[in-house]
Amino acid sequence: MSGESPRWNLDAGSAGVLMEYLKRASPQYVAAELEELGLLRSADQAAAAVLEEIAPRRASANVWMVALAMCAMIVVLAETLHVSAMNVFPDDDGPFMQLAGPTPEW
Amino acid sequence: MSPPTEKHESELQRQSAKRVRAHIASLTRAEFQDLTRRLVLYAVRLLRAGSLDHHAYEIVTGAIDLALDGTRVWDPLACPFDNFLFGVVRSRASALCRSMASQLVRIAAQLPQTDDDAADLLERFADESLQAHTALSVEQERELERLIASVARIDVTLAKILVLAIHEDMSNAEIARELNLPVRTVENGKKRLHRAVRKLYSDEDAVASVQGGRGRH
Repeated sequence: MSGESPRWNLDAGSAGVLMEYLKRASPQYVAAELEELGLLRSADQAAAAVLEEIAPRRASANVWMVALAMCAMIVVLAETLHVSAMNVFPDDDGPFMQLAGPTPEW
Repeated sequence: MSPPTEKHESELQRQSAKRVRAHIASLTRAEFQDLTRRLVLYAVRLLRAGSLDHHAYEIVTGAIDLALDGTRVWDPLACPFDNFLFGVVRSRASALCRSMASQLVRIAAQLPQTDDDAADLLERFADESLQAHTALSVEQERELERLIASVARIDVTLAKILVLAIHEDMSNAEIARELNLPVRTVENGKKRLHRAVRKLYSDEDAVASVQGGRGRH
């Protein structure tokens, strides 16, 4: 059997059929054909270049989300520590101590 | 101040560029890589008649750039994103093939070529049940593509029926709905396909026997 690649007419109708065919062809077939033509690597590089152009926006959005989340965590931690500190070191001059009076140990 | 039509057009382009970027950003890396590969192979196939394979990469990157900067406007209501990009690639490939230089190359490329054994392929798929294929080898898929290309040269609608029947395992009614055709047309189309297959194959046999006869003398 001939190893020659399929030949398509260039008219709009044939191009439409070709598009429908290639949309459904298996990824293995597409990759194998491009590899044989020596175009697989350049096709992947083209895709990577486009994604690199678009991805930074996605990446920066992610960075802002992480930064926001970290800020929220810091606020929560600060609040927690502040409340804990108040509980651990109660004010000795508070009204409770005055009402309690001297303890038996004194 | 620019006329309102120009302003409107530039706004359309800006919106389109935004949609394209958002759509590509929504795809996974693997999905976009797969689409790009298919686009490059599409460009290769369209350029093959002009022996311009090596331009396929530039055509696809150029097409994506035109989509990204809004020069080519994508209307999601008119067509899916994939079809839009395939269309941009096709128009760029056509423009290249129309150029004088490529015309000359194409003439050179059309000098005597070997047959592509289309009839063999046609017979293989031309039984009464056009069924969906699964797990075909690369070589089988290449044969399938040759078959569909051969049929497309005879009748585009038949070729579309074949693609849907083989790849999607669609019933006649489903194909008719997909292609916006009466069911009867699809049924007749399949019959015509079988006739065309038999004719192509018998022609091939006749050619082979003549060639064999010549070889013996």
